[in-house]
Amino acid sequence: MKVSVQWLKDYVKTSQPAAKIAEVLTLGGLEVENIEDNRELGDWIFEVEVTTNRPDWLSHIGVAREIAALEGLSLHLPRAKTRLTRGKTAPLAVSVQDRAGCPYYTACVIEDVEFGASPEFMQKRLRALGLRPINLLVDVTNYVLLEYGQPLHAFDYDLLAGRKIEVRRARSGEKMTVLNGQSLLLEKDDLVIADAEKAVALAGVMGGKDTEVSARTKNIVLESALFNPLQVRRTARRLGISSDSSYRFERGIDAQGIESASTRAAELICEYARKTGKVSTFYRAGKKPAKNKTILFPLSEIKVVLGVDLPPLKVTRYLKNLGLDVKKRGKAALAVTAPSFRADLSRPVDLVEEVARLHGYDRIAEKAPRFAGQAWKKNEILTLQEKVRDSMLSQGFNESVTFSLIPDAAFHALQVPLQAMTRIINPQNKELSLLRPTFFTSFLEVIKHNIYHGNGPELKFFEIARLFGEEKKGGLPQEELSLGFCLAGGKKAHWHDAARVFEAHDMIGVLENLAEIAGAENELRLEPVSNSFLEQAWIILFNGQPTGICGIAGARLREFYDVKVPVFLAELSLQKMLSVDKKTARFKPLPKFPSSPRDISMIVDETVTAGSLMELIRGRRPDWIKKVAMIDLFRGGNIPKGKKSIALSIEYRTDDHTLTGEEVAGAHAQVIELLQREAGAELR
Amino acid sequence: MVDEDVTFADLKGLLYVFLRRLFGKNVEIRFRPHFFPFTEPSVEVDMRWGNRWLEILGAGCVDPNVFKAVGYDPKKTRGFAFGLGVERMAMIKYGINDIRLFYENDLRFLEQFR
Repeated sequence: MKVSVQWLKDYVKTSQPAAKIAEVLTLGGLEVENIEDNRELGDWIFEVEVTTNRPDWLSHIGVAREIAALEGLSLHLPRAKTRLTRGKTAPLAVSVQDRAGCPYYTACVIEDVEFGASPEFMQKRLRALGLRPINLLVDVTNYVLLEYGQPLHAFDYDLLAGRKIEVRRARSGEKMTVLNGQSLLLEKDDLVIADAEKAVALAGVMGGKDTEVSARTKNIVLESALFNPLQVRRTARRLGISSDSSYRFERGIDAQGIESASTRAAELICEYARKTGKVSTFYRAGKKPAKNKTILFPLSEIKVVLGVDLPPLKVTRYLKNLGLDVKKRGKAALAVTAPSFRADLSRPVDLVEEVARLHGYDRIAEKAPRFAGQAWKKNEILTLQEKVRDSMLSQGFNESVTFSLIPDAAFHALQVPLQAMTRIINPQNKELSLLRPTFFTSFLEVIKHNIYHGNGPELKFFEIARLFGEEKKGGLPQEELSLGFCLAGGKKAHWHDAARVFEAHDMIGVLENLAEIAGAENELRLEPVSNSFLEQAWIILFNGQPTGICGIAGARLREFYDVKVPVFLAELSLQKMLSVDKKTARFKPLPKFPSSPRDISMIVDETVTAGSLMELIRGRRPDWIKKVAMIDLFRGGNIPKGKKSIALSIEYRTDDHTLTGEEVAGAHAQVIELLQREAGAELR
Repeated sequence: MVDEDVTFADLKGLLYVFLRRLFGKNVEIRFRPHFFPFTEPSVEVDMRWGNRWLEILGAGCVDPNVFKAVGYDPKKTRGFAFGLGVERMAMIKYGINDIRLFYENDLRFLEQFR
């Protein structure tokens, strides 16, 4: 809200420069967000952030009152040059049909008004705050709104049918054109001010065009009332209209100030019009809300809440400066009554905040944090998370952070069914409403972004986040804290090594490291499975427990993200990794007898994994085959397309004697025969 | 932080320690009254940023109504709370100039913070 500093000084005699006033207000809780030096008007304009608990700051008197309280000065309310005398005028019948919507309504009549433009000082102030001066009557209502915070409205008395004002609900289908030219179709829930025939104003929001004051107006009705905040808000929202008036009613006005604001407006009109006739007494309908209750304020609350002692005399002074009524209640308490414009003060803790901010938050001495000795329990999943993070970083991966809410597009394009997935009903962004069950599309997005910016060729990312399961009827989906990682592109050329694209083995190497962390080293297995995103996929098993999924990104997935390099994707559940049955190490006696290594070089189909071959081999003679390792892998050259050459090294050893040459040869021949038969291997 | 006797002074103390650890011993901070529906008193903390004050977090003593709503006796239970934007803190501490960098996952950004 904009405030004129020069105007504020009408009510509080502060000698501080504008910048200092702004600082005092900001440190007191009313933040001055912007200071404009308006040279043309010789004024400073503050833009203040009025918080929702202080609607009394929506007026110059309210802000001036705050300055007075913070600086310990007096507040000077406006006083008319000549007191208003009220008398009998032409009649007006005022009634309220909807007490809930309008608890209290006042109006007064001012006769025989001859008016022109408003005085220069008023026009200047209105313009400084972004309002356009129109004529004395309209300007006065705007001026008093900015001065007191009380919205007022002026009707042309002679245009009110039946000299009647009724506050009632609109009739369904009733029409009205308001001051800004908008034509409205009203509903039963809307509250209107009406004359004997029709609605003449949208209560608390905007006046109607038919009864507005104009150059022809001779007699006016000045309305000053209290409208229910929720009622005004509903109507304003529904019709898409808001005004300085509705803004204040929505937040709460000072019910006890309704009549003083009206009197002030009448005084200004009488002072600055060319001529005015009689001013009526108030026509009233409804009941003014009760005054605020007295709060019993134990002074001990200050130490309890703030942690410091403040002298009772100071506390009393602060509260009195704010305009509160303060009386002693015994030795250790005060009886405090808040004025009507402070509806936010109803409990002792509210008063503690007032005391604290007037005293100055920075003057409250801080206390060092205290912690009672506690036995800390290790958080298993956090510990695992950190181990995994450190391991991935050491393996050259960078941690990415992507959104848990993902778009539908990739799923549609790849025809992956979405129905079972959990979706947010009211997403902030309609494009992002799926709670992701996988990292894969997010990683492709990251890879795409990096390729576009020329990063790479080595693109290795990991992320630790929750993945969401299917929507459960009447319940929340399962969430699993998971690790995802991806490799895309390949290794850069190094003076030592040639450049090469990433292979599935690079991904499997990472899985071996993760298996070790989980306590499942030597117990990593991959089982083929089908997956909509991956052209080759495997379930990751740690110690026989399915822990995740990994594979080679399919062509359609890469196409969707316009990624042309090979991509390997994996995701594992950290929760499942935690539950792997870690076997306590059990000493194995050192081998007594030497081992005999034998190599096999063979050509197999591309789809046959080295892992499956190694498992096959181990299964043939588990008692004699101690180790199987892959020692070479290549494609191309004279290897046919769709096939690859794999070389494995097998270590034969037994625990009770040195194997003879014949024994090894025999076992090895069996292995070869097994590979040819079961895996279609061709020896090289 | 919730306990039997937690005060505004404790809140200030914790925030001072926290912010000094995060931004160095010489960080200049100030506490300013504000309003949040669930704290009373409420406060916003600014830190000195060049020649102006930059808002970095909101805090306050837990409003007794909040304790009542969750079944704690506000006469026996006190507490405070504070909230801050982690990206904002990182931007201040490391001089990062665009919040979107945290979510684009560009290697040239990620590599700087290993």
